[in-house]
Amino acid sequence: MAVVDASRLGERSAPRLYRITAEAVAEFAAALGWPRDSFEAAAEVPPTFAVSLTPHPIPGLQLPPAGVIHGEQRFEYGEPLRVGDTVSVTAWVAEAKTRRSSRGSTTFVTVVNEVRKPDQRLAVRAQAVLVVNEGGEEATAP
Amino acid sequence: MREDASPGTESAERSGELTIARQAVRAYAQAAGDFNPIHLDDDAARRFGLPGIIAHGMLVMGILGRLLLEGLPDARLETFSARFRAVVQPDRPLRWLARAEERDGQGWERWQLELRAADSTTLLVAAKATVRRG
Repeated sequence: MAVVDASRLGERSAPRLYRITAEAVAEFAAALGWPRDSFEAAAEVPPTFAVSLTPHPIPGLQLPPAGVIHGEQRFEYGEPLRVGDTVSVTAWVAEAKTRRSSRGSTTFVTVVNEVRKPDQRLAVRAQAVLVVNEGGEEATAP
Repeated sequence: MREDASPGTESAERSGELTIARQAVRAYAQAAGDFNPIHLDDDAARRFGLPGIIAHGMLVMGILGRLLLEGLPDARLETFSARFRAVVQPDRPLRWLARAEERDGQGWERWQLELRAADSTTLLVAAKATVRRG
């Protein structure tokens, strides 16, 4: 199974709208060990909160149900994201590289996720490198 | 989660110990909506060659972000990146370190963060952050 359809690199997912609720932020923050009341009212959301805003299906990307390793993650921050904001999330595959060996193949997929405010100003650009191992006798992981 | 950092005046280097409990991994799966079985089910994790369940990379990165910002109350992150070098297992003592690499006097700082097993020098996660102060 091909992980990435190379002809669809850069093709954006349909925008997915979210309203950032106090409950979602509190649960996410608490799971990282922040005090429950850290992000009330006008406070910005935790820096990695954007990962909970999953996009609609990404064109040309078919990840296996399990065994995907997260290799790298990068965030660039623009406009502050706060409780009560409505945002639009789009994602695309920016790059895919496959290395083949006798044990199967390893694909490094770079996925970009953009979170924008209603006026289209960028709030967060999140870039992940996912590592997908396929084939061979057994799946491998670091 | 248990951790302790040396409190007191702000310094260019901060460190501490922490442990990520299995329950914290479960709570993060719920909060982030990431139910990959390698984080929840030991047998499933072993089928992928792992020693048992592992913490989500984004849980670990999120904790590092909190530890950095808790020491910099007036800071705003501009960029934050991480490389996940080795798996982080729950209920193991870990040691974190945050070091200011560069301060330019105009409110910009670059920080380097590391997470290691408390009893080893093996680097588990290496992260970088650019922050703007004030």
